[in-house]
Amino acid sequence: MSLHLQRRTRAVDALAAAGIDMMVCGRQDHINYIAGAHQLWTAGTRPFGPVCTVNTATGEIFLLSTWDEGVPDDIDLDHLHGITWNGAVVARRLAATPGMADAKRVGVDAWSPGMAGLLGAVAPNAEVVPADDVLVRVRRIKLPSEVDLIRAAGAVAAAGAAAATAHPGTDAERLAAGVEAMALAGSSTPAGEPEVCGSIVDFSCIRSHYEGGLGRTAGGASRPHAGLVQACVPGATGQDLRQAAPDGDWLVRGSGMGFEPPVINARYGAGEALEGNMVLSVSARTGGEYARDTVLVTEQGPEIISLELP
Amino acid sequence: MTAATAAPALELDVGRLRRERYAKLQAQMAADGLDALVLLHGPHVAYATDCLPEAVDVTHASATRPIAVVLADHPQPCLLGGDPDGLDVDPHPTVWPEIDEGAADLGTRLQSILGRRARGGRVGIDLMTGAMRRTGVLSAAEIADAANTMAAVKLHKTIDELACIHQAQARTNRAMATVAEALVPGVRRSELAAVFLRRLREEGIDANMIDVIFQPMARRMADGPRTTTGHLAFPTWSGDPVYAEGDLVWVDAGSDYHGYASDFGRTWVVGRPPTPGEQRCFERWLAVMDAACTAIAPGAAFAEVCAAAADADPPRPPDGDRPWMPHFYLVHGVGLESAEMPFLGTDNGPEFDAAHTLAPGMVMVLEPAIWEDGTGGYRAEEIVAVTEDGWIPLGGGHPYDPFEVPT
Repeated sequence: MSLHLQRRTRAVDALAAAGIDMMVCGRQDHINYIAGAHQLWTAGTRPFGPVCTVNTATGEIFLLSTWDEGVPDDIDLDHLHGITWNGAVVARRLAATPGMADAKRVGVDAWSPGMAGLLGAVAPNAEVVPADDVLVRVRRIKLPSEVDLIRAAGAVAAAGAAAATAHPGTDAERLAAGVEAMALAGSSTPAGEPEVCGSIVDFSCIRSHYEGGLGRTAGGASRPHAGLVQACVPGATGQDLRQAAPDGDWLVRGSGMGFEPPVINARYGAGEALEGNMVLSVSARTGGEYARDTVLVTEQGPEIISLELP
Repeated sequence: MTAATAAPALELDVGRLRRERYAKLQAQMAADGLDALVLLHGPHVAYATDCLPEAVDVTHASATRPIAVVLADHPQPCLLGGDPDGLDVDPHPTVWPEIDEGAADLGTRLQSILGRRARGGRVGIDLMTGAMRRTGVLSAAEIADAANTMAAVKLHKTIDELACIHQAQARTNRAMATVAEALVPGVRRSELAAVFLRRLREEGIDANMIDVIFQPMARRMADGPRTTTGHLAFPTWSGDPVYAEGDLVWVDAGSDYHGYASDFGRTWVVGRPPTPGEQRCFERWLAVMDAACTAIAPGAAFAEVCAAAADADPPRPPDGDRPWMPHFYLVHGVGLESAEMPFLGTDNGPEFDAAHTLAPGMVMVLEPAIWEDGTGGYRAEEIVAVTEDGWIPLGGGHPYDPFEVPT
């Protein structure tokens, strides 16, 4: 089974098990996970609106897309909704989506007053509940093919970091060189904000839906995140990671289709527990040195899957 | 483009930008009967606080997002997280509202900022995360839709907002001039994107807001992607095509200056001059653009601009469509969002266009598109601001190469 269908099956099963009849997604990462379509990347936060609707009883997907370019073959043209600027059209489509009229529980991955009113009108018998947590829980554990794609994205980010490290000039010029190199290597879309500050570089990208990234201090003798990386084993809790963390800023968070839970730092996530096949971005900054790696949690221990720079 | 009024000086004054926006926001909150606004959407946070959104993936932008809280009659906004350095804000610690612990933090923080307003006060909000719903954030307040309040203040730009858009457009234009030179047979899309992203940085722009589009267009719609409209597919996802001599490439890009978006649109031909058919499409497009611009004036109905554009290019078989893409519009606005009101010629329909009128301070991105199936087509974008007595172009213009403007 292709990767996007494996993901979709996991997501639909989890939503159904959580009692969700219809799921309305507006977040691009959830949409990519379920639909597997390649859609134009745009930066920044978005208002909440229905982009992908899932009937968990039938597994049917309805996707906002005017064309079938980039859309998997298993989503037919008649399951695509063209771009609209008309709120009445949005309401009519949602109301006509098979399963919506009879739904008892409609899941959403965010909420706004306007959309709450609209969903209340099109699914009058339904309770509208947040279900982003159901999707996020599924996404925490990666499939083998997802890990491959994260490795590939990591290689692209490494090309950016290597170019910025090697490039002479000001920090701004080195950053431009890094962004250029990352585009040449296969991604013109950042994950987080790239950083070049003296000897410190951090690059990340989204490539084929997945995030890769790493951070380095050129000539750095120590790796301030080394203890954290070693602590990334199945069963480790957020509290365990706190004990392994260095002084200074640090963050351990999921990395897959971007920034994901679990989120563990000095403030949040003490009660989290790591599991095998999680992929984590592990970073720390202390004493003028900084490092970040992408780490696969395995039964044999942590495996760093981001690349060393030349 | 034809007659425009004399351009005012478009120099950004950051202090004035912040003061004027905040005063408009306070006035609109009073008009909407709001005691407070809680804003999570990046452009809304920028409007209220001048804390600018980062041009990062939606997952990063959402997970670590700054949040703005605006209280009626208070002299400055609260900013939770972000970098308050140099801003006129009351700074508060970061909360991460995508996770339940962070949302609970936000709830506590809002209780203390809003005080009595949190219990029964009327609070506008633009978005709640699932975690905020689960943890009952603002559950005792009367909730209103902040999107309406923000749309109202964003619609008419101040002079400094125009200056930002002008700068964004001018810098994007300059970056694209370099990219155009790089478009030769055998080059890949990734190479063009690399040149563009480097040049943007060199222009002092670190916020590229859309994955830059260099889409090779099939000459016949039937050879392109299938669509829900039976019309063109544009802009599709990028991929990494290799361009060959004679490819028709539709270009679209948008990047931010001080939070405000540019919108670049042109049609390029790879490695040779346009054919007579391609040039004819361009001249039809010029006629539509000229006619649309001539109809722009404060007080003009959206429908008048649409009619002027359509009349300049009467339906001709087998096409028969209006001279813009049916899934889009003839005109969209631009500002802190890359597409915002005003929208002209959308599927909101003729009644909508007849009921709405242009007013000074509106910014219009005109994007007619001409298509002759079998030949190809021409699409480009121009950006103008409505003034008290007409309109002014923003961005300083950009050539139509390799097409020739008739003398």
